[in-house]
This record gives sequence, structure tokens and C-alpha cells, in this order.
Amino acid sequence: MPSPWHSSLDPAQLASSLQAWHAHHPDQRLLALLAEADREQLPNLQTACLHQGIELAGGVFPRLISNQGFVDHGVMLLPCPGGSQSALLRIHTGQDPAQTAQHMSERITQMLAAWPTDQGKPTLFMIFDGMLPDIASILDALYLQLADQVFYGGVNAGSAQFQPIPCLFDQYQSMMHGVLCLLLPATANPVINHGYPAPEHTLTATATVGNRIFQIDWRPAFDAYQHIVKQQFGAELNRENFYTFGVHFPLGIMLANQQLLIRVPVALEDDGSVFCVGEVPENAVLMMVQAPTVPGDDCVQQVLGTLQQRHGSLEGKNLLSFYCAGRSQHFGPAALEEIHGLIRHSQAASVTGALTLGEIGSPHEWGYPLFHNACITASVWMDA
Amino acid sequence: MNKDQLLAVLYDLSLTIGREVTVDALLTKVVQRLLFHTGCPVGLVIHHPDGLDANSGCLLKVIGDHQLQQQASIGIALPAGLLGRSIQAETDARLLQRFTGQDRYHYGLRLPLDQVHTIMLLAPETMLQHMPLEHVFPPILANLSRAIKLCKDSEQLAINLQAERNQVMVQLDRAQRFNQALLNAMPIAVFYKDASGRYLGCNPAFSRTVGMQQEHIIGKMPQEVWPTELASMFTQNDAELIASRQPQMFEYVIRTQQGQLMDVVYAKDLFYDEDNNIAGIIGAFIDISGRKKAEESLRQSLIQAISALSSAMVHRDLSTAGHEVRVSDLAVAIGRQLGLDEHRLEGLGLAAMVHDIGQIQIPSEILTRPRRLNHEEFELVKLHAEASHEILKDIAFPWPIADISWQHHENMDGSGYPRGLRGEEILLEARIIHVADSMEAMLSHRPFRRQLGQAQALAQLEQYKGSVYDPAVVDACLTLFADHGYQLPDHKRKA
Repeated sequence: MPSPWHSSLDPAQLASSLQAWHAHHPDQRLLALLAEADREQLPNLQTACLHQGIELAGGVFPRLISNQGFVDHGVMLLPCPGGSQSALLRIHTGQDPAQTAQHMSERITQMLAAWPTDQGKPTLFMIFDGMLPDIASILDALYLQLADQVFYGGVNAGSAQFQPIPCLFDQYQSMMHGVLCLLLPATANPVINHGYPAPEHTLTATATVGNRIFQIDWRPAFDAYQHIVKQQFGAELNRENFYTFGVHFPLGIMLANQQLLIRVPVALEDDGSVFCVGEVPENAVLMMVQAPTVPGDDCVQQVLGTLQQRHGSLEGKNLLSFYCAGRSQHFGPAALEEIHGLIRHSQAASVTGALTLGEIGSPHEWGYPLFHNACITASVWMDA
Repeated sequence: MNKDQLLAVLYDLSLTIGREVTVDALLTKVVQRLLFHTGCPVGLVIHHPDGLDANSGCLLKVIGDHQLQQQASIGIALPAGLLGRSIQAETDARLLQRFTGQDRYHYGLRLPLDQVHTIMLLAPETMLQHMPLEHVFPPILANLSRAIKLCKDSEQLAINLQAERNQVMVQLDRAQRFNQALLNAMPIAVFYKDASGRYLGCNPAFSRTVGMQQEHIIGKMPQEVWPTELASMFTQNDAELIASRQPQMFEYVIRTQQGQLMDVVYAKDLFYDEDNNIAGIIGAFIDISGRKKAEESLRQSLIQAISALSSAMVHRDLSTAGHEVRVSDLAVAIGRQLGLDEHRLEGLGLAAMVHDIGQIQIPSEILTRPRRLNHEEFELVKLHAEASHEILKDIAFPWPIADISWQHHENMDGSGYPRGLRGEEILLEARIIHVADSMEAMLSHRPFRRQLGQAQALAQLEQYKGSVYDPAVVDACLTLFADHGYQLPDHKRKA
């Protein structure tokens, strides 16, 4: 059986494949990436794992990624390397990000105490519920606590329609408003990139709360956004086509190191505020970004180049890769070219992953963890 | 990085600086934001009180390096060349190793804030090569330096305020302890409640009076503590107190939840909050059951003494036996007809029982002589009013019984004896006894004359109304006999 592998959620097929795998790998746990279309069948997977005594952790994502490209059904099952640990933590609505980080840090510190020292510094890979409004603040507060004891990476799970769903699970339960913390080997530390160019013009988000922008340039957010899209790109934006346009004209936060953090506006609230995937700092200076019309090879090449710098040749290795759902929406069918490029250029044995609602990582292996949109992430998945 | 992009970064960092009010939060947020913007994984704030030439200091803030975090607030050696006045990108790995004790840092961005604070950003490789450091950071660092000073001032102010607050709290606590001790020591039952009537607190004496534990009283409404009729009366009184804002004092007989009866004086007043709004009601019960018992005992003793004196009179003149009882009965009936209260009626009855006590000094053969008295004898008899006063004046009655006895033969027109008082100079009780005494005498046999009929007697009263007798008293007496069918006690017995 190839590792990782894709499975349908048919109980018989699941039981059979899990039994076969578990017989040879009795001490390993599984990471599961479940297609949103099949989320109702999650209990089949949980039941099968419980029967086999397999520890399971995972998330629900809009679509899956395999060597064949995007997959709408089934589940990607990734055997976790020895020593890996996971913790599914609830985050209470309205809880202060510092409290959430404290809660996470206490649990992760326990996990670190059990981490095999001979495996070096681990990667803390976090899968958040994409509906949480303050993930960037949680990351800031978590870094205060854990510092450089781990490498940081992660993604947001959830629905392509940005509706709240129970998108995180283990073998016993599923939940929304939570985070799945996975302690994995250093190779799971993702390389992240979006390749969108920095724009020339800026605008100010003058009133924000979490991931909602109420005002831009001291005007109601949607009116201002509509006006700028019209002025800069000649596009007519209205409430109906907002989401389809938002992915093409995302907002960017410019950093001093010339990194551009993308925020994709995905929904328009009744009060005219704009809902983004990912937190926007209060009074942040935002830039209107025009996403490249075609993906090209640059972004993938940069991701693979950095990955090769860290791990050498990727040939024959298994890659874990996530691809932003907003990026996929923007590029349309061309997004598949990037996935195929990733497979082709890496010469990896397999590429496994999912479309995501946000990505966490740093341009450097040791960098400060940042929350992104519109990115491709990739890491080497060691399964033993 | 173009001008717009640079401004965006400056704007963001400036806003971060302006948001915090404590040094720790300010340094945390600023260093976090610097890491966010620069991509450097580690940020430190070094405190070097000996200035920029210091060779030691301490790490006020460490973000991103777990090992250095363990050294935060502990002294750390500062190798020569690490500190300086200027913003500088340090790439001397050996210098950074001497400072951090680690060989992984190859880049350190020195950001001096003032003479005693420096921010240092660390990274394993060179960062920010494209950035004009000398243009970006000076205004931010100057702002930050001022913000640190403001935060320190603000913290000092907060410390001072807290110290003052603590001092006030200590005084308040002391005052509260004193008040509590005072309340606990008081034998008087004290309570206080909010404006809605809910008990906020009470002392042990109140708890004992109510017969409930203090903790079971607090938070309760009167109807949960007192019997229903008392509770509704208290609630009504509370409403009146709040409406009038005037202190109240009542005398009640209260019954506890356990059914025990108790005579109390009950005082209530309002207390106010700092805005002079009514905050609640404070009250006290003084248990006067003992005093009431003593008063009753004294009253009984007086009644017994008076009864004994009255009996002595009976033995001196059998022809007038029962006179005092009958006068007393009629006087009280007239007094009640006139609307006197029970306390005053009690005094009136007792005065009537002893009004002729002075006759004890008159030879009994004069009193019992079966003919009209001559002038000298009558003058002697007239002395009995004065004598009654002399006998009674030193006894501590709660009523003016000696004066009443002294005045009971005074006439309204001043023609009476012994002092010729007139009208309102004569006590009402004396005027009543005068009428009752005359009426009883006219309705009784005397050794020297036959009794008059009731109609004749009443006609006599009518005749002397205003001159001898108080008209109001005569009218009351007439009403009693004519309208209410009053009869003297002997007649009642005969009937």
C-alpha cells in the first residue's frame, strides 16, 4: 500500500485498508484530510479507527490534492512518523487570544516533554477552524510562550462556502471553534509562498475587528473597496459578484522585509463590512493587490527550491502540500497546472494535501510564524 | 521598497507604539511587531543602566529564544561593541555568540532607544538588506523612547494611586472592623437593608431577636423574616420613611418567628450613598420588655396601695362605703365619653379612688354626724382637699394625682375651695371628679338627707353647669345617664 493513500469512505473499504496498514504499523497514528463533500461520512472513518485501535486526527477541507490533482471525495490518509503527537483543543468563542495561546502552550509543552530528543526540534503543525477571527493574534501570543522550541506551520480547515462546520476531528469527536495541534518532525515545517507582486498604492483599513473590516479610508468598507476596484481595475463590483471578484482583488499587508501578506475578502456582511479570511490588524495599512492572471511556474519553483535547500533532492519523497482555496478560485482550471508543476518539478513519489482557508508559515525555516492567504505550502512528509 | 510601502510600515509601527500604557505591554507589542515586519525570529530589549558603555545589563524582554528567555531579568554580559548610539546591522557572529552564548546568530539589528535601553533583533542570516534602516527606524525609536517614558510615568502614577487606594482600603477595613465590633457588642438589635427592604446586614442582637442566623437573614425580605402582619407593617413604614425622609420611632409589641412576644422601641432612619441618593434603611430595636414589666409591677403596687387607702376610708365612715369606687367608675365613664386616652383614664380612676384621702385627718364623728354641719365643722371638712394633696404629693405617680385631689372641690367660677381656682386653672381630671363626686353624693343617702332621684340630680348639675361644674363634663355626664343608661356600680349590682 502506497503511503500516504487516498481512500473512499465506504466502511468496508476503510476497514480493509486500515487493517492492512495497521498490521504493519501498529504504533503509528494517522492524519486524515477529509473532503468536505464527504464530511457526513466522517463517522465511518472514526468507527473504523476505533475498531482497529488507530489514533486519528484530521480536518475537513474543501477539496483534496493527490498525484492526480484535485479530488472532491474521499479522504487522504497520512501515516504519522513515530514520536508524533496530536491534541484537539476547543477554543471558546470570545476567548482572548492570549488565553487561547496559553491553553495551547500548556498542552504543547506537555507534548514537547515526550518528544524524542534524537529527532531534533519538532514542527508544531496547527490545523485551525477557518472561521476563527483571530488566528494571527493567537500565533503572536503562542510565539511569546513557545519561542523557538518548535518550527511553526499550519493551515485552516473548513467549508469552501465559509459556513461554520465541525471541521476538526480525532477518532472520538469532531468540533468547530478549535485547533488541532500536531507535533511532527522538522521536515513537516512548510515552505510557503504566494508569488503575488506588491502593488504601488495603499489604502487604510480604519476600523477592523478580527477578520472584519468596517471602514477603509474612513469610508464604509464595501463602498471604498467597490470604488477602488472600479478605479484601479475597471471592474464593476456588486454584492452578488463580491466573492468571485474578491479572490481576484485581494488586500495585502506590506511588511518591512518586503513580504506581502495576502487577505482575501470572501464575504460581505449586511452592515457593509467586509469579511476576510485571516485577521487584519486594527488601522493596518492595506494594499489593493491584483493577483497575477496566470500562475506561471515561479511560485512553485520558489517553494521547491527552498524545500530542496532544506532537504536536498525531493525525488521519491512524499510531499504534503496545501493550496489556498481562494488562489484556486482565482486561477480556476490553471490552478491545477501549479499542482501538476509541483508534482512534475519535485519528482516526488507523492503529493498529498488539500485546499485550505488560510496558511501558516514563515519565509525562513526559523522565521516568525505568520498567517497567510493565497499561498502554496509544501513540506516533506516522513512516514516512518 | 517605495515611499508608500515605507509609510505603511511606519504607520503600523507608530500605531502599535501609541496603543499601550505599560512598559511591559509596550515592549512586548513593539518587539512582536518588529519581528512581524522584519521576519527576524528573535527580539530582545536590553536594559543597560550604566549607559552605552556598559559591560553588563539585563534582558527586559525576550521573544523567540527559549534559552535566552530563561535569562530574562537576570544579569547578562554585554561585550564591547554590542551597544552604540547608532542603528547598526551587526554581522559579527563571534560578537553575537559572546552575547547570546549561541552560535546560530549571524545577524543582529541594533536599535538604540535611549542611553539605557536597546532593542536587538537577531537572525541566523542577514536580513533587511534592501531597507534604508537609517530612514525607517529613527522616528520610530524616538517615538518609542518617549512612549517608554510616558508608560513609566503612567505606571508610577498607577503605583501611587494603588498605594493611596491601599491606604484607603486599610482605613476602610479598620473602620469596617470597628463598626462590626461595635455592632456585635451592642445589646441593641441593629439591622440595615437596601431601599427595596432586603436585609443587607445585622448584628448578633438582631439575629437573637429574630431567632434566625445572621447568614439566613441577609438577602431576605421582611416577609421572609417576620410574621406576615409585622412584615407588612414594616414594609409600609419603610415606604413612609423613604417618602418623608424623616426618622421614625415606634413602640411595638413584636412577635418573632418563634412566637415570642417582645415590647420594643423601634427606630428607623435612612442612609445615603455618595451621590446623596437613598442607599437603604438602618434601624434598631430596643427591647423594653423589662421596663414594661417594671412599670406594670409599679402600677399594680400603686393600685394595691390606693385600694388599701380606700379601704381605710371605708372603715372610718361606713355611710359612704363604696363612694370612691362609684366616683371612680363614673369619672372614668365621663372621661371616656370625653375621649381621654387609656393612660389618662387609668390616672383618673386612681385619682378618684383617693380624692378624699385627706378626710383621714378629719375627726370621724364630724364625717358621720347625722345633721347638716355648722360653719366651723364645714370649714374643717374643707381642709380635706389640702390634706389629700399633702398625703399624696410625695408619691411618684405617673399622673398628677395629688393635684387632682387638691382641686376636686374647685368651681369653674372660682367660688370653690381650697384655693379658689377657676376654669382652665383646674385640671380636667379634677373637674370630672368634681362632677362625678357630686353626682354620686346626690344619688346616695347621707345621714343628714335623703338621696335625690337621678332626674333631680341631673337637674342640679344642669343648674350649676358653668358656674360650679365644667359644662363639657356636665354634658358628658348627662349623655351617659340620659343616652347610654349609665348606672353607678351599686345600681348595676342591684339591677
